[in-house]
Amino acid sequence: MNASSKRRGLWLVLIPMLLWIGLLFVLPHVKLFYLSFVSRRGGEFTLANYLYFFKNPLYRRIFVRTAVFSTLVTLLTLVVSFPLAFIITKVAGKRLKAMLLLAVILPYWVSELIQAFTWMVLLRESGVFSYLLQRLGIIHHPVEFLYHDYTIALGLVYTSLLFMTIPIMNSLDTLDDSLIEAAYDLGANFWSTLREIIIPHAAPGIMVGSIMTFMLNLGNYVTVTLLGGKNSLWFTEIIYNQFIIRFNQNKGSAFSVILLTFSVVFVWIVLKVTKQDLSEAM
Amino acid sequence: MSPEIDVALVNVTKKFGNLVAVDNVSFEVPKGSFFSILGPSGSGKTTLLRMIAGFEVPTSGDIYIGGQRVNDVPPNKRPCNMVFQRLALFPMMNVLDNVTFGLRRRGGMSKAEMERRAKDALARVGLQGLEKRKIHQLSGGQQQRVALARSLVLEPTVLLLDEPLGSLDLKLRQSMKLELKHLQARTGTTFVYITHDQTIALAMSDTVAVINRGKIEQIAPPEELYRRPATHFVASFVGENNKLTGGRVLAVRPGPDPQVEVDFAGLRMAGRAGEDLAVGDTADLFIRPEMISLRPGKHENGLLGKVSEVNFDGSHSLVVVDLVEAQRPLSLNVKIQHTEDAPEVQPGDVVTLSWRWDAANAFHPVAQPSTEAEV
Amino acid sequence: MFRREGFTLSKALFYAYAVLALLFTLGPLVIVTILAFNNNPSASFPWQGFTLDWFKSSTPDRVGLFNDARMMNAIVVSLKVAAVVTIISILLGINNAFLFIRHKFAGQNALYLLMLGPLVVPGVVLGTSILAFSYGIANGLDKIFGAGAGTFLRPGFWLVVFGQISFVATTTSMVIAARLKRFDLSLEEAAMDLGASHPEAVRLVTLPFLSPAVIGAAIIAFLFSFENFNTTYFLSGSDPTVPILLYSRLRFGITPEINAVSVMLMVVTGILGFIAFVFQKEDNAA
Repeated sequence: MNASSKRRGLWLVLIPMLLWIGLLFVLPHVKLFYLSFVSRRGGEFTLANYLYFFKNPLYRRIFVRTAVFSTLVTLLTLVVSFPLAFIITKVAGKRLKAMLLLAVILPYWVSELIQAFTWMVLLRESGVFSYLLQRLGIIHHPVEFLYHDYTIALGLVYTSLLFMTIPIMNSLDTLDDSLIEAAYDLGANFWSTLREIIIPHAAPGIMVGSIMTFMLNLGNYVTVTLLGGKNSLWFTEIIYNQFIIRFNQNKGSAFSVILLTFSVVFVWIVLKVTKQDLSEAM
Repeated sequence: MSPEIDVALVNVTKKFGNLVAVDNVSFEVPKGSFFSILGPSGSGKTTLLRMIAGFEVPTSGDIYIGGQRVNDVPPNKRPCNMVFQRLALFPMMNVLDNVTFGLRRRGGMSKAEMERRAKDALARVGLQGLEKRKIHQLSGGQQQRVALARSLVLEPTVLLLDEPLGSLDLKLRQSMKLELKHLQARTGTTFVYITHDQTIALAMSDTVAVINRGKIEQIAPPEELYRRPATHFVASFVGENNKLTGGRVLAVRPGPDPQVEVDFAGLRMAGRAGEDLAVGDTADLFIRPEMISLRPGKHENGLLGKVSEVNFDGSHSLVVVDLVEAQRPLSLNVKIQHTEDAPEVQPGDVVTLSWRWDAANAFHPVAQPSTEAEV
Repeated sequence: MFRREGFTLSKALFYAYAVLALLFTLGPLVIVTILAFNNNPSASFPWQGFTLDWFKSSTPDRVGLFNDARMMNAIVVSLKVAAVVTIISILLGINNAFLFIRHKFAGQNALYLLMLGPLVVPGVVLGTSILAFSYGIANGLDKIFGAGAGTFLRPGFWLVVFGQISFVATTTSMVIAARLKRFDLSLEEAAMDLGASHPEAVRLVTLPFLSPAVIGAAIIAFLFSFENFNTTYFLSGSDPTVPILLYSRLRFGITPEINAVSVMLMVVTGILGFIAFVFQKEDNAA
């Protein structure tokens, strides 16, 4: 193949790629960025959209709440996922391993909306839990388990389980069983083996899983609004409100840029601090 | 261009950026011959073959196949076919579909005729009855044969082989080596074979071109290559050799094959001058271990030595002999064939070594260390 | 070492945890499935007998999913969107795989990172950015070509399709590129050596080699599209997809019909997911 036909071939595949990433990703974000810095009427440059956000104590509270809540849920997911990943890779026999893998993957396949819905069925006032607890005599009136912070946390852990478990599994898979045995052989107990051998080895997987979980939590809409209802106070909700209900694209854009900037900067800092490479990690 | 020449390269050079992969190479491959290009990895031999096949375009120079200049002919239009190093059999097709692939591209032939020819080609390589097998169901040797049949069925003017035996284990390689040679003789197709494995090149070829750093070092029949290397590189790359370095030329006797005497650590050694040498020059001397004759005891006309090691190796033994009269430690490897009248030696024995003068080859030392011979 | 014979306390704890994990992950799905067949209009327990009413009834007080015109319309919309998104994302995926694996050009690494961008950006932001961008373009088109020229860029079928392609194509590109990377280039050269032109070699050898990854990526693309909520929510118009319709209904309460819809989605996506899983395994094996 000669150089000029090679060059023609390059353009042939470069143009569709540039059209896609340009029209559906880059330019929309440029526009979002632009809108966030201009006034709704008149279109001149302004910081008002951002100032509106930072001057409003409710918005500030929602922002901080979303960030802190996402972080806590990420830690909770890690605590739940790590033993699961360890059991799947190091403890379970073939059958249990397949069952657990399916259990992690199946909820993901049936979509986040259905996941949230199933918890609504279980937790609402006239739902399955309330019914069962009444039958068992533990409670005597229907109890509403929905619309609490712990409900949101539960739903978020449920939807993030896969994204945390799989990366940890991948890194634990490469841990040679004989290392664990050697640690025991040298007199270590389970906890010191966990602390000095297993967790350091799984660190890259823990990092990737945590980043993905955190970002999914931060950008979540379905689970928090369905399980948290009016009390959810999640950041994505105020973006939706500006765009769809108030039809204020400029404020909505500013809020979107804040969310995007925060999640990208947060991930970037985590990656820098831990010296991981995102394209490798994924 | 003579009609008896199937492939000709004229002053072919290929550069990749600043790197000169092939440097002004010219050679001719006679019709029906088995022509090998032998060189260490990175010597440019693969680039050379890929230019003949059409996957690379020469930076300058011309390539002729069957008398036609093919520089501008794309690979799918060239009258040559290639057997790839990793065979490149199509994993999604069965054996028959692999072999008929080229015929189907060519068209103008009934399906039945294509299958007949394919089966014919498969029979020629000894693979009857495996037409419907998937590629991954075949052994390494069988895959090798399918790759050969896939190219041969097209009756190419030239068959290019990119070291296809390299991936086989030693035993299979030995038998495929012979088979390939017989196949070439039977079909009369011109073979151009590239390899870094000199045993293959020497055993199969009518002619071998030795290439190093993009340049042709020597083109000769195997025996001449072995006995009369033209360059320092060829002498050290082809075959096992004793290499003595840093000698001083004491005498030169001119002639069609100039003879020299070289001083190494006070010992006079005879040899053939592989290139122009003058009295006083520094020279390296290459002596083949099996060309040295070893006599037990002390004799006239020879170098006195003491056996330090005897390594038994089946059909022969490799004897390491320290030259006791040398002014610095100097030793030679001697290969003794285990024939009826072979001398029996043990470490510590006193022996005398000698060789015909033209069994050793002397060259100027090379500035850069040449690639070590692969033994 | 934990697979060793014998009963230990740590092993018992691990197994207890595994059982809890199974209950936590699969329990809700099982309960919803049971309720979809429970003859109880409150969509909860107690069990009042088996029924298929929530799937196929057509009486006014019990509208089964198959007789719910809005729901059936949403399913059709979702299928159409998913089909178009899948086809375009697969074509883009093959295109991008060749771009990044077969070519070398300045800025390639930066462009590759940019391609991963849609995975990093929250779905809500992706939705809002495309909404804001297309709104401006649609207004522009209306102004230049007359009212209605920009309609296809207003919330509705095509905008949902565009929005979903923005991130689905990233996934298809990565899956297909991973397989193309493992392709032995000499296969293509062998085809050309045997008389095929370069396009023929790609069609006859390279594309068949890619097919397991293409099929796997197509199923993943279909699932991603069919299930997407966050991005689609901002872009869908008066014809909602299934997730959007379900969401709007869930805000008013739970009906047994939604149980039935969930079961149907679980079955279909479960099967598709399983097929994708099988193809991915084959992809990795070959």
